[in-house]
Amino acid sequence: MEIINTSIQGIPVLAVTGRIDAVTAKELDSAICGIIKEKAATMVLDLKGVDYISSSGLRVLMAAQKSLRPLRCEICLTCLQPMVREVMEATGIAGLFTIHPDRKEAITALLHT
Amino acid sequence: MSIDIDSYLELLQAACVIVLSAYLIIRSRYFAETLDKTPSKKSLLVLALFFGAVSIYGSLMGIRMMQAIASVRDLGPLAGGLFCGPVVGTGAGLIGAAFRLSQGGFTAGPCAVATLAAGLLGGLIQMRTRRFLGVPTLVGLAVLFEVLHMVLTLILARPFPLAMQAVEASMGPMVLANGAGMLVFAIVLSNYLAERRTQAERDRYLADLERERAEREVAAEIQMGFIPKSLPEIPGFSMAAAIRPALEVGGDFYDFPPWEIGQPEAHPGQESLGLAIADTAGKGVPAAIFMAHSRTVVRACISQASGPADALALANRLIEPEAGAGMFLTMFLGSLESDGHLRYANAGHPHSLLFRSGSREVVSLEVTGIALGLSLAGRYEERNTRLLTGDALVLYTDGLSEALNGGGEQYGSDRVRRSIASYAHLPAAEILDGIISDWQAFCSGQPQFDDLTILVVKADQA
Repeated sequence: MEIINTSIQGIPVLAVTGRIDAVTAKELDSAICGIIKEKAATMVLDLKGVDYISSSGLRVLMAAQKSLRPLRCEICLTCLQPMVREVMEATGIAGLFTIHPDRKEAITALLHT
Repeated sequence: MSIDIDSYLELLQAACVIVLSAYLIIRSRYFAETLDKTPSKKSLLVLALFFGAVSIYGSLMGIRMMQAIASVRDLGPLAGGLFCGPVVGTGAGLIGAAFRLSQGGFTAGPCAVATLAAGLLGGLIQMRTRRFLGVPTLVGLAVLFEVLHMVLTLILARPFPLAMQAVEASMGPMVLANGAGMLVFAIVLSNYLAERRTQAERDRYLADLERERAEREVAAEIQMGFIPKSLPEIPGFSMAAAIRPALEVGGDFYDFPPWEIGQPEAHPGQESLGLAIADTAGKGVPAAIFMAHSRTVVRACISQASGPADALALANRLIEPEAGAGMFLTMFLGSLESDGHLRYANAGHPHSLLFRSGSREVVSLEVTGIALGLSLAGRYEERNTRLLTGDALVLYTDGLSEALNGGGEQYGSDRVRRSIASYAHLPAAEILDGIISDWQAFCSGQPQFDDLTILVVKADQA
């Protein structure tokens, strides 16, 4: 798994590539926590390159979402691949995130709120 | 400048003795104690004696260089002081100085003073710095000290012209010999320190591994403690279940919660059996504890609920506030009556399949609400179906469908469905065996990171 940390017009963007399983979920967790620690802000998680996410990965997303919500921030997801979308919809996690089809739309939507 | 073969051999011999003694003492436990900054009195004594002996050897073994005698007498006390502190340095210096005095000669006094000073100075520097100074610094100190030694000789030795002559002849060789000797000591020490660091890292790594292994064992023990020891019996049905904790224990479980309520008046005379399978997000002890907690909550909620959906809704309200760090669990919860009537609700557990013997199709028992612990807003719907003779209910967790083979290919639910269809005519235990052996054939030899949990209920005669 690879994580690229960028910022587009002040909005933190994490682009993940690879499988998010029990082992790599820890890396994702520290990447997300790193951003939150720096500045609690709404961020975009680009999952274009992720074809698999395990329950450990989903837990990392939920933990971040739960810690950001009281601060009126959230994690926006973009570019969900079929398997990821499927498991997020089956567990009901999809309903707890704002999901945009691509990165550009996510940024546009965030800049207009 | 000519040096005959004998001088070379002498030089080589001296070098060998210095290298060997440096190696032996630096790797001794006495020396290790000073590195750990916990030297016992005995260690200090042994080290002082040793470095003192090196000094005596230096006095005895004058090395002929450039037609003069070079002594490495100062090396032992200086190194002892620099490496082990003032006690060892001074001790070694005293020994070396006493021996030099006993040899006599007009430079005996200045040489003895210089040797003692070497130990004292080395020890004082060590006290101030308290760390390894590095090879170049140590060699530089040895060279500087020899210059000091020469100055001392000029000041203290009488008559002055003779002293001047001695200094002129021995200055170069002394500086070279002591510098080289210190180089040997410093390199041996430097290597040893690097080795100790590597060893410390390896020890830490092994300790981490051991801790992880212990944690895995604890997690597996918690998990297994909550798995039913035996399968319930319900007339007309056969049952089979398997749970296999993976490399990283998760929080899978299955359960047959007592199901006394429901609506007995609606189905008088029917026995009812609870069926549950769940997959906790995450790994290790936290997941195992969350699993144990959730299982108890669900069992308690069942006794207060009107049915599976109601039980899940109640359980979700209790689990959500406790679900720290994003914890959640997916769960299929059903109640099966002996006439084959199955009521169920499904909290985000997509791996719930039913083989219909009539159509020979494998259908999904749909998700009817979100996973437990995600949101207080979770709503759960109930579904009803009926297991007819020959039907098989297969509940499993993602350890089955998400396992990878050597080529990185995922097993997938389609293969699970095909397995079920091909073994569904058999009793539950054989369906389970068939599913597992197909799965093993696919991902043979690959380490599995996720728990594998499967529960099969076959309607032999519903």
